[in-house]
Amino acid sequence: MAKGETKLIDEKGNRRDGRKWDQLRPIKLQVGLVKNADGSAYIEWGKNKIMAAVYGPKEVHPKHQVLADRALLRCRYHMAPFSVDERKNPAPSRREIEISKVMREALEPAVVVGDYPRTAIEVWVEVLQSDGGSRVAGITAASLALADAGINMRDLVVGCSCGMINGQVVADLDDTEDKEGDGDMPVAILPNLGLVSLLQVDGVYSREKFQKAFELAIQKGKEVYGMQREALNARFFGGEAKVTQVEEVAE
Amino acid sequence: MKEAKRAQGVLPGDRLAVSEEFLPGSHTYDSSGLIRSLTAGSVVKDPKSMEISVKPAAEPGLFRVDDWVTGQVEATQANSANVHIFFHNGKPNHKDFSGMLSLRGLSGGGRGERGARRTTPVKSGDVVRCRVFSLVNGIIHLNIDEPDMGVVAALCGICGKPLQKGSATKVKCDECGNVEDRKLARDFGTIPIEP
Repeated sequence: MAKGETKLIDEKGNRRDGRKWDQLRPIKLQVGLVKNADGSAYIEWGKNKIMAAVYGPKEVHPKHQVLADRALLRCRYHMAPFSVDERKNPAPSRREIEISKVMREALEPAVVVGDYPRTAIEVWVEVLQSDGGSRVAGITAASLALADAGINMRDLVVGCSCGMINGQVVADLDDTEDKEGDGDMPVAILPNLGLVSLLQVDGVYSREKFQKAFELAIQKGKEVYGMQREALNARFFGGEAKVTQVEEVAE
Repeated sequence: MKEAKRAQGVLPGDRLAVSEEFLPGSHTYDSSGLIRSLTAGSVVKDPKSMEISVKPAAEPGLFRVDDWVTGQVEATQANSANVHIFFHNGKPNHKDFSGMLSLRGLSGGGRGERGARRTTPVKSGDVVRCRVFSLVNGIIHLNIDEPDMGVVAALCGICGKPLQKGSATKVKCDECGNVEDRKLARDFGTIPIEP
């Protein structure tokens, strides 16, 4: 069956896994699991299982890459050989190199690299099990790992993907929807600052569909942001002190 | 905004105040008139300086002025030496940082002292304890001017056996009788090293 012909959503608007068009898969976030890293986070997003670890700020090697006025942010997105149905070659693929690059560019607006001159901050994202949307899940986990490491950040970064299946805009595509659908749109945002740090589009969208998918990705990203806050709250404040905006507490 | 009654947990990007109320302190920044947190931690308000800051819940363990470090001398020049840092304030540090140890005033033979007798306050391979005195340009500047700072362990340049303390600035090798100059820390030789 050609791409786009598989029935991925029925007349009632239910998807293959029973979700509605605007529903996210179940998400679980944990912070601070890797003892030897300066910061770490683990995310389960549907069937995705991803570990992110941050090392640094540390000395830059090779030395010629040192930036005199800011930190060098390095990201490495990697899929374990056992993360997909058929064994994947562990060597970095073209796709992984590209995702590492877009991940760095998505995180860089949030990290205050100017506070750590002549150092390197390394972000390692290891996909243990993959099921579509792993780049946005990786960005979400990496942002938590950076916050766990105590790196100064203007805001957390949260990712969410939307896309089109059978001509309809839906949130959070899984692997089959990604492959068989009409296109996907991973988006990463800095929710408090209202900035978009990643926007990739695959497929052909009308202006209205693009607008709808983009707004849905931001809306769902904010939902994930709430889960990020809960995970950091549990890590730093024992889950007891309710993390709230200062203005709300004061009033 | 009323004064907060209890310590509040904040996360990166959280609004702390408007810039008319407070000045941004440490781990905060001003974004279009709003002061926001840069890290996870608790809010600290100073009513005297009208500064709002965040006490971080986690810090990346960066070097600060007046910290002390222990490391190994990797290379020496006339007025400086490169020190690979292994301990920061007594705790292991595996981040591969190097510092620049200033030997000006210790080594002799510096500018204007041409022909003066050159001593060797540190040599490559020595284990030194140093004070961080500056972080200008992101470089960790170190010195060993204090009595507690200086070489804490060294090996003989001839036979490789551990050197023993001779006088205040001399170390000697019990094995081959070699005598060398060093700027010694007060507790030189008390840290056991195996050759």
